[in-house]
Amino acid sequence: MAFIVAGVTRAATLQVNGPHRSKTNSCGQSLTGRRSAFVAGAARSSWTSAWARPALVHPAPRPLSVPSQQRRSVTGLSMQIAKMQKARNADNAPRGVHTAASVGSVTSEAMRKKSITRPVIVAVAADSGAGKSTFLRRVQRMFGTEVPKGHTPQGELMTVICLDDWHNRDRQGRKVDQITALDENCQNFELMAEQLEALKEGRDIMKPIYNHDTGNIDPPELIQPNHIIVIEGLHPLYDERVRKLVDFSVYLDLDDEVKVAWKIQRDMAERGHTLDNILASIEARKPDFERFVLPQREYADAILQVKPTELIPDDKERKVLKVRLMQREGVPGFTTAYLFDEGSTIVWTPCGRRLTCAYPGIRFRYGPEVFYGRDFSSIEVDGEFDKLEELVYIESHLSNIATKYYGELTQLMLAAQSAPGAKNGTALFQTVAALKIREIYEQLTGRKVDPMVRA
Amino acid sequence: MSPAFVAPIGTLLPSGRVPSRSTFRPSSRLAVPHPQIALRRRAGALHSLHMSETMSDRIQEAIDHAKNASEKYGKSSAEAKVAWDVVEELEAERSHQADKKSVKQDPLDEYCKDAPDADECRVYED
Repeated sequence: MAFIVAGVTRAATLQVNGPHRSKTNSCGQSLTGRRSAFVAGAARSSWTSAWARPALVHPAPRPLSVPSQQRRSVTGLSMQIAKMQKARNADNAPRGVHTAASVGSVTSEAMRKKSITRPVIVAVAADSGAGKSTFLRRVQRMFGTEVPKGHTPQGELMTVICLDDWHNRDRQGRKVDQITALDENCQNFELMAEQLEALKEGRDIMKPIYNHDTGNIDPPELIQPNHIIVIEGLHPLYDERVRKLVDFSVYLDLDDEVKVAWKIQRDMAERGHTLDNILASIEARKPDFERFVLPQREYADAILQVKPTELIPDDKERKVLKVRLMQREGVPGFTTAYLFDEGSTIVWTPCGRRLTCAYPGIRFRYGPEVFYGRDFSSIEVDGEFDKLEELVYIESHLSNIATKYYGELTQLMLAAQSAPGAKNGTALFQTVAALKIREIYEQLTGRKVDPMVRA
Repeated sequence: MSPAFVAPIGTLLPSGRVPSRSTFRPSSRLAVPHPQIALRRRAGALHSLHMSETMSDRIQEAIDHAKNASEKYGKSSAEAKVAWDVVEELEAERSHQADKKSVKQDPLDEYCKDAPDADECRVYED
């Protein structure tokens, strides 16, 4: 069970498994208790126990090379693979690396078993080292997914697919052909679009695996449709066919100074790197980045920008950051978050008589912006959060942040205190973006998701 | 049951005899812990160290290769770009693996260790 339902006041929660038949075995124990996901049940007081519940997923996918005669199980897994047909675009990749990729021809078992209305596809676009993993962890926490083992985490509600799996050349192949992983010619967009479309329509796929450790392309794994499918990588919004499948997209944008600072933090701690190397690495990567990744910013619904702070003159440490969340207006299901008065321009310094902050304090800005010729609402925060009271104070003044109870934003940020950026706007706006994803899921499917982190 | 006594490989008592277990073992072999067991225990501890060492070595190799490529073919050449991209990929993978390995402690427990009197840490016992 992925959701906690607290008490009888939550009568509004939909029961997705149809009329709830309580089956009991001879000992009088409820059998459906474990299987149903949305049923009102005993409230769990500790949110940490949410992690320990058994995930309702199929057993670990087995590679296609196992001959089907050996599998005598009736779990349906062998039936699934038997009903797959080779993908139309499986031969698209040079050196035949994707020939084993296939697509299901019938609706997946998972659609019925998990009672999925329609898979919601969320795209997260970012260069490497931009905070994707931290952001994805926050989103996963929103849906209470215990992270299952395996190359692609397929939880009870959420699946996270890394788009690098559709690289059409392994590391050796890229060296031979002299192209970087950022290049559009290095992705099998046709296969990506075909397989993601199949998932969205509710069919299983056998998706290739790109192994980042060895640099090889491994035999494909079974991916089944899920309530939410997050696709993350360098090119989720690059290709038009993939873009039209995406329901909501987030782009993580870093200013150059911040990029260098984060890379230093990540890589210089280990031996082998000097500042010169880091700068050379970023410089070498820049042309391809600007050609293939940056243009996707135009298509994103939410852009999270991390910039150097304005509060500390000549800051070199880059510990305090200015973070801006740009939200596109007019996206179905996306009500933009605002400060005080929607559509106006606000500069707000919360620190003062009621709230005391440590140096350098906190400053907010909110207002409408035009970006790439389209209307956006931008909220920006500069500074660091030090205390619980600051978070609660700020939360009480933000509107449309899609929290289910007063203090949920603060609770979520406290739950992830050890994550990088926990004290600045990155945590704040990543959490707001994750809340918005939950809200969009609810809007698009008409389902309710209960908060995982309780008050 | 024999005590969990693992003698370091190659230790000998001053008299030149190998240390024996306290329980009787009807075996003609000398009663020393099987060297493979000791090795395996050591290997287990060293295994994770070994893996990360390989990763760091690979990254170091890749960085050297990239530096050579940029010197030889120029900073904006295709060779340099590809080489630096490989470095970036390996470093990202290393940081992902390090993230996965780090023990996930419940943040509430961590918080309560420092502040047991906080409201969030109240324990109700019936």
